[in-house]
Amino acid sequence: MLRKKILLVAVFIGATFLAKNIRAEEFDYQKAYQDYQYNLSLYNKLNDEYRLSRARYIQYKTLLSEEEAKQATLAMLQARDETIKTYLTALRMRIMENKGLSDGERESLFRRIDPEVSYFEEHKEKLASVGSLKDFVKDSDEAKDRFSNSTEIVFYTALTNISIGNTAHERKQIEKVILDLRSKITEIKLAGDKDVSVFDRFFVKLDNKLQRSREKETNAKDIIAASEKSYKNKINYYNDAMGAVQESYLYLKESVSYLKEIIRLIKTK
Amino acid sequence: MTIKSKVMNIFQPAVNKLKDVWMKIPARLRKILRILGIVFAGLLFLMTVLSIVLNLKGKAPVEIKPTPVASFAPLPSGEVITNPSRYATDSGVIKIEGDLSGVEKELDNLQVSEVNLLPPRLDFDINFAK
Repeated sequence: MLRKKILLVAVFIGATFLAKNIRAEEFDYQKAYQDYQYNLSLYNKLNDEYRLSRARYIQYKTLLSEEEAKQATLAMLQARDETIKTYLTALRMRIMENKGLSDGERESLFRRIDPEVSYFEEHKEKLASVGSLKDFVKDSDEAKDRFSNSTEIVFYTALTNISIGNTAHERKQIEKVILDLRSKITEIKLAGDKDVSVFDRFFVKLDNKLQRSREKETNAKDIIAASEKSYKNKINYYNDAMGAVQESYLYLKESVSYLKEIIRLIKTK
Repeated sequence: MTIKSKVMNIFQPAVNKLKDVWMKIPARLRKILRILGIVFAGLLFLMTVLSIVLNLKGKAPVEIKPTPVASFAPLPSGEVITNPSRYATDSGVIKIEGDLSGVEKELDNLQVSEVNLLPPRLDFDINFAK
């Protein structure tokens, strides 16, 4: 009896441990990205089939061609919804793994991504009950409106923030190096065997570079926020925002060059 | 008259003069000079023999030593400091330098825009009109 109990406890502990490990391994950005890639290629294939069946239906207008067109449209529309869903999930995972974004920034982005995922999930389910080609067109137009008024903006907002997170992470790393270097220079100053007065000016310049980098990121956020109130093509806003992030990146590169110069001077008599 | 007698005729007066000078030196000093002469000749002979033997064995190869150079403190980037301070080898400075090198590599590998994750191109223009 006792042996049986011990065996049960051991099995329970083992199963819990295994489940935890499986859960930890089961989903990350790479997996989400693979899912998205698979769904995108499936959508492209089904979209080709839809175009073919549509052309046949327009040409023959037979019951058979209509039935084939309905099946092909349903499959394509469901694949389109699934592609959007998996793309949003990939963005979500990318944001989750981004080291430069704060918890607040992540949460704010998730609050925008999740309703889009829910919308396309429900839309996909609704499609199964559609009976006519006319209704398919109507449902597709609904998805089109949602996509252009909300989903597309979420795409570009998420992408911009991911890029900002990447540069912000690198800036944090640089700030850590600056902190260590400042502490070392104070140590050298106390030892009194090297003139370190010149470095104060260097650090002022470095702070300016980092400040400029932060400003460029804020600029990128402002650009992408402006896209929400505009009817213009969203990708143009995204490209402008990326231009600002690129400038932020260049300021970081310059900061690294300054730090290298300071280290070289410390190492030289 | 032979060559030998001709040579003797030329050098005889000098030899006789040297003999006179030699005989004028006190007997004791002469003895010392003779011993010194023998020792010097012996050494000269030995050196000659040794140099011949060593030459026969072949010259010992000359060891090429690298020209000493001033100590340099290399930077991770490959840059060389020609006039290093005492902080060139300081562990704290080297650690900071290594950290910075890591950040620089990360920056070099960073893709500012997510080129692999750009939005999909989707067809929203669904209709069954001609």
